Amino acid sequence: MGVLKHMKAHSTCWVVFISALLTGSPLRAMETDQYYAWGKPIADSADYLNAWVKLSIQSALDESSENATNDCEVMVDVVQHRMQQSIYHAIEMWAITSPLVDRIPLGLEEDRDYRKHNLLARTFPLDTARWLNPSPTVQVDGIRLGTDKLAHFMSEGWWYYRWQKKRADKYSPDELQRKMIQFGIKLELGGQGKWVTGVISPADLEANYQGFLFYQQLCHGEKPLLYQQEGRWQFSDAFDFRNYVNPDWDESWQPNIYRERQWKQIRRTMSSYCPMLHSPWVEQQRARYSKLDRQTPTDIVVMDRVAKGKLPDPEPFDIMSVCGDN
Amino acid sequence: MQQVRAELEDTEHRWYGLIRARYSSSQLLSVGLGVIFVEQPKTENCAIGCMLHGWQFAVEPGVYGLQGSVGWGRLAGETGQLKHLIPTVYFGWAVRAAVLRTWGNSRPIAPDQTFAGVEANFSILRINFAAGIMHSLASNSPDEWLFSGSVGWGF
Repeated sequence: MGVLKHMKAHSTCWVVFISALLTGSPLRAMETDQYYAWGKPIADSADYLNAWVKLSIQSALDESSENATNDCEVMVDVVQHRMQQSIYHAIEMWAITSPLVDRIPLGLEEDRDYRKHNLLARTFPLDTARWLNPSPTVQVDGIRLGTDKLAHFMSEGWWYYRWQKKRADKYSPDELQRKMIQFGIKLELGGQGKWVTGVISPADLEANYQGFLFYQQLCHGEKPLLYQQEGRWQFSDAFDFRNYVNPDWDESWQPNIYRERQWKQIRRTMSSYCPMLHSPWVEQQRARYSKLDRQTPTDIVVMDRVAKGKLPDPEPFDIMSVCGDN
Repeated sequence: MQQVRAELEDTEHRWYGLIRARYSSSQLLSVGLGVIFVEQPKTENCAIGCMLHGWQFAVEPGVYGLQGSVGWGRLAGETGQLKHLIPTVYFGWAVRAAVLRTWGNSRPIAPDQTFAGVEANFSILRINFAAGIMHSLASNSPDEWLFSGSVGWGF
């Protein structure tokens, strides 16, 4: 009966997976593990990532046949076409291959070790979460994040932006924001997470929301990131990932929600990091995160969904809960 | 900024080998070997993953025929330890013009016929799906149109 139930669940995963691909849904399901990078030094890549975004967007603007338009929203579409692809996104692929971006793992040998020892490496053999290469960890402004978050920022940030733009007249600003994040949670419960890999990631949701802010800032606010100069569209030098990245992007700080079958092994692997909780490096990082961490709109909506029983509570999957149980 | 610009602009032309094994309605079982020509930053390394796009050529002998194809495609994959072969394609698609010469006791298609047409390819997590439509190059062919579908491994 258990096997049948598992087979049924797996078939459903695949139906969703293939359907999402065929319908062009924003399927992104690469996983990451920041615990693996604990205690290992990583050079900060904020400047390089900022430079890549600026060069890529400016190049898209320069090459666009729409450059003559005065409508900023048309240029947002140009930016989106350059920054958002299907499943694999240019920013993430650049970050995992560029020698400029320091990361863990770095190189083929380290990558092999990462694939063997990351949190998801020892779950059951048919776990779809293991079929995609796990994203490495990079550092931005002292905060660790999986390169998948860069893709979430550019890709799902756009989905959020498009979602709220279509519904801006229907709801009050607060209601619109809450419903938009709920839309993100639905994505995580579907082809973005749970149905494909079994993982629901509040850290992904935070990167999505920050990506939305980025797309919104392209044309709105006191100093929009897109502006016209001598009839040509320009991308502002003011763009900086440091304005968007916060400790909630780090999955060792903002825990994922795993499905029961995965959790047995993940919990075992996570427990192996318990002794490190008291290492100076981890204590220092967590103290810094604690100082920087603010309650974000994503946190509020996630907590509300948990309270209403619409989303499992992430707390049991937090390393503090895991180690506290030991 | 200058370092990133230099990295992105300092490109070179490269080729990568592609491999595919599949079960199809036209060739039954076949193994394809192909090549994709790309322009990439010199510093980019596909060992643990990269995104490529460019022209592709492939030759694919099978139980009931030989297919040759040329087209354009895009993929995200990795070479692992193999410098110029991409055995792992995580995601990719291609549209290829194809020519198929049948042989053997192929059923339901008669042997010794030549078809030309188009094939669409899609790979996800190493699994390849393809569908094609071809027309016979002979005027007196018993099979005027050939519709094919396949599932396999690779790209």
